[in-house]
Amino acid sequence: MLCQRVVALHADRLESLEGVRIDLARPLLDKCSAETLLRLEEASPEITEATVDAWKSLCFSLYPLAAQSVCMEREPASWRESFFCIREQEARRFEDLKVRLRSQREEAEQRKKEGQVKYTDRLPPAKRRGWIPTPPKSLFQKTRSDAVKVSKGIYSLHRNPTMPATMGQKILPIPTNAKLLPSPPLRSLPTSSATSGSRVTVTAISVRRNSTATLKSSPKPSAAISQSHHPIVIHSQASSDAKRQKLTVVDCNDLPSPKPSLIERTTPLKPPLPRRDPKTSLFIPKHRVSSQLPTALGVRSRG
Amino acid sequence: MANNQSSSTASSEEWVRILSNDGFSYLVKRKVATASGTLKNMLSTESNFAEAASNTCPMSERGIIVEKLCEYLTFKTLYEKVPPKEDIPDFMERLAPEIALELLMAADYYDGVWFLHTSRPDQVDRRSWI
Repeated sequence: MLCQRVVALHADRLESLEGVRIDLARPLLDKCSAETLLRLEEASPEITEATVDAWKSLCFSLYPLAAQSVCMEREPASWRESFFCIREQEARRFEDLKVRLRSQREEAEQRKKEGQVKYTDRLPPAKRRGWIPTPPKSLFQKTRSDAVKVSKGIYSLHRNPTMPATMGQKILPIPTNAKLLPSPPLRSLPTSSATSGSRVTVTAISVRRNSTATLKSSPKPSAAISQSHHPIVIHSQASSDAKRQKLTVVDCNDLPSPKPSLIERTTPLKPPLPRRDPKTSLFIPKHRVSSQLPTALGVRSRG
Repeated sequence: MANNQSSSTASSEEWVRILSNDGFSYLVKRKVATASGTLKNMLSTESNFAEAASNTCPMSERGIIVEKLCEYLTFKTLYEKVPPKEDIPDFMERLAPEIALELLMAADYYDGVWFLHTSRPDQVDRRSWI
């Protein structure tokens, strides 16, 4: 069988088995592929009866489960036809599995991507308010709104987070070594007609107790301090030649604390504090002047 | 008796000619040629065949097929009676796939010299031959 072994090793290179005895060719057909069997059957029709067993062995070797299921009921009339049917079924099944696996993999990748942290330098989309699309603001409009915020932040009583409305307002005493500082010049603050008609509003934060007498003796044009039962009239300081600002009378009854003290103002601009919590920076307004932190306004007691 | 032995020995050492259909001729020893059953019958002195009288066997095969046939017959004769422990080269390596099918058909015709279950001529079971 040396020659048979050599031919079997190269069975797919056979073109025809014309003139070969069937008993010699039978062991060779078992080693052929489906395409080779078809080619040999076309070239040598006399071997068709010998290829039946070859097709059967091919079915069982390539698709054992499907061939067993076909053979269970009864032997098929043509194993060649059965082979091609089984091959098509398996191809369709593999295609379905491939599509399913691909979609599952894509879904998993999509889920993974959504959960990943994304770095971007773009601003997030603006929140919709009442589902009304607002037109984009021009530079002038932005500047005007910033100015309003700044002015409201400095002088507005209601916007001070250190004095929440629910708790009522509390006036803290100022230490003796603290100096009375003039209020910052309002000229530096941008005033615009967008502030609902009022140019400057002053917020009474704290009144210094000890220096009340000195203030009384030498009243300064910059600040006028009244006693607790009198309404507190405060006006912001301007330069000597400055225009008179509009005064806002604040009734003392609105203030729950009976201790009057001077307003202590610090320089509006302070150097940034070291080691700031990065999370707090989210809530600090752009201009430090309008910062509502206690340190900026000097409300917090020291010592 | 001695004459018969000497004559058989002499005849086994004789050379015989094997001719291919494309004009090639191969000279082999009689004992090598008689390893093939068909050639043994053709060259038998007891028969009255022309091949026996002329010590020439024409074969209806191509020269390359006849050459390979003679090569195997020589290989078989050489390693037929060697001890089992001796290594015998594999003759399958010497078979080109391009001529394997044609060689299979020629070997089938010349009485099963190729139907060896192993490549060891000393292990051939004669009952397995065709």
